[in-house]
Amino acid sequence: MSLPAIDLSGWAPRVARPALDGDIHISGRRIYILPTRYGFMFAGLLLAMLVGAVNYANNPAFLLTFLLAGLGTNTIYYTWRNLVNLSLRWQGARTVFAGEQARFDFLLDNPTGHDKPAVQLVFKDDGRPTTVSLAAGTQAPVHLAYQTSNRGSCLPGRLIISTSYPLGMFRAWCYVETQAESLVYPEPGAGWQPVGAPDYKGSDEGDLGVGTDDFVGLRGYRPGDSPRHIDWKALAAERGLLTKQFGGDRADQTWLDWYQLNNPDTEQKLSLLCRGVLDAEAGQHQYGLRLPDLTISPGRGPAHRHACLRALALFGHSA
Amino acid sequence: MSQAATERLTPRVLLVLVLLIGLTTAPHLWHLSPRITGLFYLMLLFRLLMIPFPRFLPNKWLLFALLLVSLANVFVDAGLVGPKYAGVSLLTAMTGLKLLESRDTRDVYVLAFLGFFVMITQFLFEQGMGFSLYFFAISLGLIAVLLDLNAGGSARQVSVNALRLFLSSIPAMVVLFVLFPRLASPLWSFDIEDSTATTGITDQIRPGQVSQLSQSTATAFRVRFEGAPPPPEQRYWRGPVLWETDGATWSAIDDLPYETPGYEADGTLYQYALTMEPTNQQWVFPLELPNAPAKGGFWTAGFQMRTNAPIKTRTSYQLASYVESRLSSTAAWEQELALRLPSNITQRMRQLVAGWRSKTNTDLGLVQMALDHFTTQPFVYTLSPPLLGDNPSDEFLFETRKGFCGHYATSFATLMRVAGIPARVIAGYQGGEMNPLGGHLIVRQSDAHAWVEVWIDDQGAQGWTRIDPTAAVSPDRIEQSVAAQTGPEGTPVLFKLRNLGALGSMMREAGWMLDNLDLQWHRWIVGFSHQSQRWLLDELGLSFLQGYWLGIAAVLGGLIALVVGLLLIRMKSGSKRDPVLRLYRRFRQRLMNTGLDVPPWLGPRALEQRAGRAFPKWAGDIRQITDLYVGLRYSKEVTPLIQRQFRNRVWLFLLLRWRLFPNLSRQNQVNSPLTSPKD
Repeated sequence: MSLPAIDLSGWAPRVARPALDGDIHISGRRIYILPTRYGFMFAGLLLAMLVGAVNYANNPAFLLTFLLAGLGTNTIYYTWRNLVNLSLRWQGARTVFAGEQARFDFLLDNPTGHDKPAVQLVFKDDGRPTTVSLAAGTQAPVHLAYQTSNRGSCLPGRLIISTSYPLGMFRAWCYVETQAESLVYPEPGAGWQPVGAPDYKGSDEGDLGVGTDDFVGLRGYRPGDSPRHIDWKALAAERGLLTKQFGGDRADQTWLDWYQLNNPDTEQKLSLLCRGVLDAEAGQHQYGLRLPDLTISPGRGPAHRHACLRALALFGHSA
Repeated sequence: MSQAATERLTPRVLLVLVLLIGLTTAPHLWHLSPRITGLFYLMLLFRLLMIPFPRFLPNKWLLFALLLVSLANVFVDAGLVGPKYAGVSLLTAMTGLKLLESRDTRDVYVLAFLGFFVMITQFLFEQGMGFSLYFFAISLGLIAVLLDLNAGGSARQVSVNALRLFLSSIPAMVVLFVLFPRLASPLWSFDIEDSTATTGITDQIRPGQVSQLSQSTATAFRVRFEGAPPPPEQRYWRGPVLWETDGATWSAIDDLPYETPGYEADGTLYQYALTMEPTNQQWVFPLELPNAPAKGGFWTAGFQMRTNAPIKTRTSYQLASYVESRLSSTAAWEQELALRLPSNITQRMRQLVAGWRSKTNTDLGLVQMALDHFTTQPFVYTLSPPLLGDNPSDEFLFETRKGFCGHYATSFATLMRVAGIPARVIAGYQGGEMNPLGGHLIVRQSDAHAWVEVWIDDQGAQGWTRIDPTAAVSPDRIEQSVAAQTGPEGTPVLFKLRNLGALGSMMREAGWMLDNLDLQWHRWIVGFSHQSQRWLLDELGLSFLQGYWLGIAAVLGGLIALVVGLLLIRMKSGSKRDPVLRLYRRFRQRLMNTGLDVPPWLGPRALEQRAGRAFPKWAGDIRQITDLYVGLRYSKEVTPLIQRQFRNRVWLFLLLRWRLFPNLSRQNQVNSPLTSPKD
């Protein structure tokens, strides 16, 4: 078993919080420690051994029993020591879509002089632990997964750092409030129908040839032109240095409009809009977003995509 | 719930666990019937072979069938052999089954705990020192297995950590052992060990029998004298008195009426404690002649000392003996018993005796003549005599003339009876080896001996007198112990020589040390009873601890001892601690403590620049330290000189600049993790 059997976080809130510099320091006082089921099994075994030894007045049996009892109790110290003075720092998170696994990156630091093997980290609400072993004086990155379900700002909640090193008889754990946070985009729905044809806006001045799409024509070389755009064949044919021109400055533009959707459900609308953003970005169109509370003018590229998706994710949530 | 467990069930864990379980159960091969142990080892072997192929382990139906088979096996065994060991057999069978069922970490724990429990059952059979150390070593192994399961690491790391864990628990073990209350009598009596095998001398001598014991160096008993021990020629340890002979075998007679003999004390008084090894018989072997029976013992006819119950555990007896004493009066029937002749007295025996009678008319004289006969005639003392037929005394006296104490004693006694002198054979031990380390005498089975007592009624000596014909033939035997040996028929006996050479004497010393350790082990640990505990507590001044208080003291003492143990020895990290890295980290931490912003990803050179700009006064020092550090980390030349320089500079920086270092700005002082806000 890896999660502590008893959840004490409700009524005994000894929780480790970040210090002002962002590091979370686990001090001895914040660590809980209780026997595991193997610890109870061991205690039962020792009791049986003791009864046998007492009855038969068998002294070597006493010796063995006491040795094991001392050993088992010693491990309390070692299990506790395995967590003390660990230091945790949140480093970042990967933004995902709702329903995917968010990934939170932490840095776990062991500045002490002894190894800390088998340290387990798990989000209380998630239940899938990650185990890390730290040698003396080293740091290790830890990536914790968290199953997301809703869009918006994802706060993974309490982190539990625990260990049952060295013999698995006791479990020591500590509750940590990280300030980790991740953004979750809405889940892209299926079946986005672009409303109408792309909004083709003709340019009054004609195709100026300053885009990146189809080949339009040649012009003379100007210093500073990219060598990739030079027509080398023409140069080989001794026609001089010529630069190729490409059109496409009149890009296809799409408006992703909230008001044009007729689903009654907000989440579904957001979901469809998200799909729309992804499709538009994949099709290299320019796209703009129109929501009840904000409008984003058309654009393209990763930053624009992120801005749109973020708006969709945080729609209706106060900042 | 499907989750990655922190424990790693590697093949190494399984292999070591299975082997250890096999070793733990091994001594049961001698205790339990082969039916039980055979099935167990079969299952163990199968598990061992299946470690690389976990798919072939039996599923639950097959396991259930095997469970029924095992139970049937145990029942059949209990029916055939007896139910005494049924519990231990059942435990062994279940452990075997569990081996087949071992798949995940929970099973490993259950197996390890079963191993410990099997160990306890082993201690019910034997409690010797070597045995106990064997099981302590196996316990260490089981702990290492659990450690490996939880943390892994290199084999060396795991072993060293397990050892340290083990050692740090020893003070607690000692304290709890001393203080834990002992019951004066057991809760319930359930005698498991009841072997019927006897060891040592029995109450019969047939020439050819005692020599088996002469091969055995096993200890028969140990004697601790108050004061100096008696000289070798007086070390006769009296055992069974053999009255009756049928011409071939001499044996004792049970149920003879006992009448207190007259006891004339003479010679030096020796007081001693005699510790008998378990023999499952009721003989104690006091030094001739003891003045009182042992506690728990009584006299029987012929002045032999017997115990009330068979000696099953090592037991000590306080005795005192006057070495030159003799038994004076005797009942008439004793003499008559001691004159009975067997039916196979030959003519030449009578003629031999008649020849002596003609030369002397005193009993003592006749005895002397008989002894002279043995000395002057070509008799050989050997431990490998030729086999004798129906009339061993006759053959021995006139034909083979090769034998050892049994031959000499029995034939001498026969001759005495022919001469009309009451004689009886005493079986016992003679001699013994001083263990200078322990200060006690070790008497081994190879020291088994037989001699004669004759009833002399002359004015010179009156009473039962000890005559040892072996002493006449081979006085060395009396002076020194016999070295156990075999050889072809008729080989003269090899006595333990005094000069053994360097290796020999080293081995002898080692033997003494082991013997002494074994004795101490039994005295202090195995024999640590309620009385011993009270005595020890009195000695330590803690006699006020009684009953509940003793229990509380045990727990408290145990906890304190745990802390002491932890302070003395702890598990250490396996990774080589890099002193350079640690020092640099401290240097870096010191800079951080001043309030300087040092993010974790800042490299040494960048740190140097930043710190140099912040503290221009110490920029030079900081640069030197960083240069040394970079050189140690990245260049190929890492000499101890540079390491020492680096260390000195950093320490200088840390210590001397510590107080003089201004903090960047009091207002902007960042709380370091060392002074975290109180939550």
